[in-house]
Amino acid sequence: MRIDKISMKNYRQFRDVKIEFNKSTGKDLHVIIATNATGKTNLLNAINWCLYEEEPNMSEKTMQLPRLNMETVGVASDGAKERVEIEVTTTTTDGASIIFTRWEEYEIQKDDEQEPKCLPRDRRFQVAYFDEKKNPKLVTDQEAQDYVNRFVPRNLREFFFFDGERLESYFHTLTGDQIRAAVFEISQVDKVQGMEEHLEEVVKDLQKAAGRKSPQLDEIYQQIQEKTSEHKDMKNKLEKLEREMIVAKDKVEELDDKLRNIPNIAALEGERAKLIEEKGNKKAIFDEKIKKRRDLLFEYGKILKLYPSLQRATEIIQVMVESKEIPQTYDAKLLDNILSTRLCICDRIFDEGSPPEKAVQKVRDEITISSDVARKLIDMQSSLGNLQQKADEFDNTIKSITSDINLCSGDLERIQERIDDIGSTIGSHNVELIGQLYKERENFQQITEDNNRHIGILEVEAKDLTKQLEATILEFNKASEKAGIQEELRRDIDFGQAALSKITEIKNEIMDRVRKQIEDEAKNYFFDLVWKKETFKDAYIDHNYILHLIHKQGYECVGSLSQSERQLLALSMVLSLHVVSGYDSPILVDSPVGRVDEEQRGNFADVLSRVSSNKQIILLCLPVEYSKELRTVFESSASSQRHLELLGNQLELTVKEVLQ
Amino acid sequence: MPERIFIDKEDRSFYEKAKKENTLNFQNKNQKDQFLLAVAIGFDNKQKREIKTKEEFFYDFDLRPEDTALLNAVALYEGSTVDIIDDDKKVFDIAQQYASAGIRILCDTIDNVQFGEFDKHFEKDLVNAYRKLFESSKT
Repeated sequence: MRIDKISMKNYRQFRDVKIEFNKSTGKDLHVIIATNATGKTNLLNAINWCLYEEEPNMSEKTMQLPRLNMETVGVASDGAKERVEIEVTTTTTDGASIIFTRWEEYEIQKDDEQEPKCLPRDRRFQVAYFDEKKNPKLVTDQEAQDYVNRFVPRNLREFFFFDGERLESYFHTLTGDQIRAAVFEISQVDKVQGMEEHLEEVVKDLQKAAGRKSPQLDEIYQQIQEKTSEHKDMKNKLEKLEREMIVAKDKVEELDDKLRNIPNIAALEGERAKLIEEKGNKKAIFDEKIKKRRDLLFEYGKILKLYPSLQRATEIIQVMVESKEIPQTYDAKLLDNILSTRLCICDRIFDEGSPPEKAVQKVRDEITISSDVARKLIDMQSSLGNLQQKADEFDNTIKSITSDINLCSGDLERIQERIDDIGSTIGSHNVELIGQLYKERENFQQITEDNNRHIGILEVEAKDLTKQLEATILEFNKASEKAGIQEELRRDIDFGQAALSKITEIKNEIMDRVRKQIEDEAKNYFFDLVWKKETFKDAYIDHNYILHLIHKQGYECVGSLSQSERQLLALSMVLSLHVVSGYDSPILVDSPVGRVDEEQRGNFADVLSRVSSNKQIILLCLPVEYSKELRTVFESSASSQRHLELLGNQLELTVKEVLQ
Repeated sequence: MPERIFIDKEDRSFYEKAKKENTLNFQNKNQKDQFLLAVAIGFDNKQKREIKTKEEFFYDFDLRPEDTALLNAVALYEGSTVDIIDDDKKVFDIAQQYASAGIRILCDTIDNVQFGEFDKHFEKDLVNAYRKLFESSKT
């Protein structure tokens, strides 16, 4: 099925616009180019409003404005009635024409003092078609809505008419839920579900009837109901936790992406604090060493500047030692005393000029210095030796302390450099925002871990509860046999339980089969369309309906895909839904390549061009999106290219064909 | 009776200046060590100065054996006989005169050297003195 034409009257910027989508080339591809705020997105809204009475892609600004075109409101008189009308003309695969029309009539009230009011007065939705006998038919209300559901069901429309951003958001779990809902719709298990619910009620009633036969049975019946309800709650809880966990994981991935090239500010600040402390300690050591060097220079200053005197004194003492003048062997004072008193130490008196006196005099004459001086010279000897040795050590000592100081200084410089580096890194980022992002990431990571833990616990409890429920049902059956419950009633209960179990199995099988079909189709599309085929090995859809992609080296690689590859993967999923659903309806995409990097736009354009060989694709592009890469592909393949432009009054649009 | 060692009253302001500039950690040294450095600088520059007005600076019991050896060595260098070291007064007189000149030379150097460069200047001075004394004797 394809869209032949869209006619819009008085719908927002579209005062009176018709756009035809004739297939003039081998590709059913149509491009509409418009700047922001021209009405490009309102074209998407127009189709949604016509078919489903909803405008899902409204900006806040547009929401404030009435649906009725402002130029029409402006020129209308007070009390005039004007209609908003949209007509979508389609053709089925077998050539039948179906026209969907929705209009809404407004009465315009004008008052000089206030803004004009547009009051809705009447509305209608109708579908016009030709029956088998080529007779024109017109249907309204629910019957008309049924035709819409055969074109594109409401539950699936987001996979046919959507914003290009939508493709990116596919990878978030909320959409996983919507995929699940879409699969439910496609597999038509709603009928099976209805049967399941009905059977549950029947079994419940039968058990209740059996329970009324005996109080014991009634008690067991009540237990079955409680456990069944508990089991359902547990299942719902599990599903909720799983969904939350997937959302949280996704958020963590998203935040990791945002933070990838952003430094961990908290870690940097921690490092900086440590460095500042280290710098303080190093500075203290440095200052200590500077002080020590000053002290050494002071000490060595005394010694080296007085060194000549130390040398001379040492020489003098050396000579006196060699000439045995020091140390003195005789006490000069004692000898002077003996000579003056002529009294020997043995207490003998000797005469003047006697040989003993001459001998003492001779020894006395040999002593040239006083004993005090001799003693001082001897005392000086060891101190002089120490001082000279210290002087000799000057060079090595000073070099050693200088080297220590230089090392310290180098360390201080390095530390300061790193502190400055960190300072400038932190300064160039919005610290608060980054801190927030890290905190968010931490919170989501915590949710993932907590939920994972809870899920583990709940799964065990659920298993346990299932066993308990089965045991209780068994108990009920035995008890009902014992209570002599009618054979027939017991048989009905058994049959009901078995049937219920089978129906549930069938429902799950159908859903799973559809999921597998979608998985296969999505894989086929992706591997057919992707430009780097050798990079990927496999793709699959998990039980949460999230699409996964496996690298040729065996790891999950959705997180590391480029923007355009993710878009392609999502597009493959969308196309697979189209195939499996059986709804061969067109795709209309607003901003199809808004998120695709320029160098991949050519590849993406090729993909869209190829798909349009078998399916109508209508693209709404901004001029900046419709870059050289896209034009190169589309100018030769698209069936039509048009510009939407606002007229001078800025209140209505015109459509200009691009000449090819 | 302990002997006193004197400086010239006028020298006090030079010692204060040296402390204020705190070159070579001067302000954390005791007066005895400050005096000895001044003696060394005066001796190295071969300059002495007569004390006009004496002012007590420290006592001889503050001197350690190495300090005494230094002062005696200066006196021996100066005097004609070794007996000079027997007269503490004479030894201290010689030291005092060298110190009075030395502290002035120190302050003068502080004024003439670029701010913050005194340590480097002093070290260079000592390295040259060391080389002259030790490396020439080794060759």
